Amino acid sequence: MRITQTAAAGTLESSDVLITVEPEADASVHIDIEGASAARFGEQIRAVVAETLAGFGVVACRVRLQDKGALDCTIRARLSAALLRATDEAGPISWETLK
Amino acid sequence: MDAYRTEVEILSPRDTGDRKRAADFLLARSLELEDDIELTVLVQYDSIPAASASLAGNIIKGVAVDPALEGEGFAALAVSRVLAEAANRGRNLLRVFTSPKNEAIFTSLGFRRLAASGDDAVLLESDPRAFGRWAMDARAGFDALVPPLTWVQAAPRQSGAGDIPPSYGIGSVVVNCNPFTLGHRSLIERAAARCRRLLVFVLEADKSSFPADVRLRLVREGTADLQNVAVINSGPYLISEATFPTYFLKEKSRSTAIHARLDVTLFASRVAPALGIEARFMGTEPYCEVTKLYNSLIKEILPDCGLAAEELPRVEAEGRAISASSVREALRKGDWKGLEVLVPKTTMAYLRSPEAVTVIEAIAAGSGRH
Repeated sequence: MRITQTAAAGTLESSDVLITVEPEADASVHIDIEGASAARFGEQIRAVVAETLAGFGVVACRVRLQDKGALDCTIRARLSAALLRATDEAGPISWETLK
Repeated sequence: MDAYRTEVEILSPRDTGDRKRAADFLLARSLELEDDIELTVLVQYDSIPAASASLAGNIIKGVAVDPALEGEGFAALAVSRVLAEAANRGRNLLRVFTSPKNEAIFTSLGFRRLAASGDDAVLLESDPRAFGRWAMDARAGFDALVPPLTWVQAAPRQSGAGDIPPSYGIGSVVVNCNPFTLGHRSLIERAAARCRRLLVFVLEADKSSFPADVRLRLVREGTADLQNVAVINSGPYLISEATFPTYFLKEKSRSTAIHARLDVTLFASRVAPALGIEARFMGTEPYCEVTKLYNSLIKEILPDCGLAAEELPRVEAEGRAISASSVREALRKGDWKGLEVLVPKTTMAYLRSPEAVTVIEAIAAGSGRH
């Protein structure tokens, strides 16, 4: 999946996360994690994000997470929504490959 | 804060009832509902207004909370809903000009400080990388227009300047040029002679009689022969709706001084270092109180940051300093003969073109400062 525009999903309320996805010119993935849980759960959040990006086949983008203590399932859901809003690929989504 | 007793409402200023409720809440906190506000989020607790925040373009305004309910997260909730509403409208980069006591609310929502105006106000931005991106683009634009070594072959010399090397590597001028006059031309020419390269920022805010693209074009046309001068759009970090909203108002007020100090501080602490600017030039201001105040702050703040601030005397025509307002005055009176001593040929050609007709008609009809 190619990221073509900036898009966001989520909120800044407790137990949620606001995820912003932006296109990135060089073919790499940047993940910025902000919020109180970044220090303790940063690596775990990073792993969930990387896994979800891989599921969508995203190889170039910048992801900003403003975390308010979201569970992994919430992070996956918010990231999926942001990615689908950030691409103009209309084709069918292979839901089976996504978790 | 108990979520079940909390209610979030989105008020539209176009609705008379909504407008009154938003204005009343702000008025009780000595704030006013400004005219450009598109929506106000009102958070109620037990059906009593607790906090509010509003959106105007890319700017968050009117953040207020009932003092009795401070520290409960109501203001953060209001701002968070404003961010969501802005995102729905495709606006992902927001700025806020607020009191330092609200700064923590915004930092917890992902905002970062751009600059402060003494202890009176701070300017924050929702995307911590936005400033860096702007600076990189501005720098690339500057280098494309005037490559870094241009001065070796092409730096203009004033008559009598001899072989004195330029005083500064990169100098800058910030101008509105409404429209471009011989006064602007002289300022830019004298500043350019003092620098290896000169960066001219033309204000981007469309608040003037002449549209922004016309103002930029006239400055470019009028300085095309000066090879070490690059003319670019000022962008959002110089005298913009975010940094200096009161610049475009006629009267000077207390907020004018706060905004002016913030704008100059932002220039000195962020813009100049990011672009390698060493000096800022300005013309002496004989008429306008707002610009006079702004210039005095530039001279006060820049030297503290290791930057030079130079005020160059204005040139005169027929015993009076040339200013863009005298050009507009001449246009209002239809005094085409008088215009010839005020503007260069390039501006004159535009003023005589069919494109300028509606602009001149609007100037003749109004009497605003800009």
